Amino acid sequence: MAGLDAAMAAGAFGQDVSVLLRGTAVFEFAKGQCVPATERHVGKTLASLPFYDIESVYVDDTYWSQVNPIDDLDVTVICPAGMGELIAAADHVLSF
Amino acid sequence: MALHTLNTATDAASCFAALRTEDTLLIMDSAVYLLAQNTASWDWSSLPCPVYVLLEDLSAAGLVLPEAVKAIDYSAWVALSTEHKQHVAWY
Repeated sequence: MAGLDAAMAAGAFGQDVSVLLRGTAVFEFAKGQCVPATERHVGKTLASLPFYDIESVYVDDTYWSQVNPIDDLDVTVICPAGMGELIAAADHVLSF
Repeated sequence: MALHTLNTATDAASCFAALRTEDTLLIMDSAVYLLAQNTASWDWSSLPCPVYVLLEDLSAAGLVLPEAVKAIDYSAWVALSTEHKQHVAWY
């Protein structure tokens, strides 16, 4: 969640932001997540990224086939080598 | 040109697959145990980039350094950080 906050803050300040979910983080896109009222829903927050001018969302393919994703999801599935390319193309990388 | 720091063995496969020739890999924390498992079976020289291990963590685990891996101290880690454009933490 801290990572998404950082991404949204950067997006709000006009930075060109890409978000990559890797490993088991891709399960945040799974349908039917039940989050306690005291916590923020990561999946729903991810869906709001376009409002912060963040259009590029990537997911690592390691666990993606096991995810039953929420509807109308606009993400790009990439392999680990693709992650390497994405990282190389970035000016800064923040890991959370 | 990224510095990859690998903290746990969990992400090792993805990390290795994301490495590019111009990158550098630094193994630390509990990921140093990868060196123990793989000294015999894993060919560290097959990775596309230089591989380092944090000396303090390696010594704490009492492990032997494989030939293709170089042990470095904290100052050398700082130097690596300044030499690379990006830093990616795998944990």
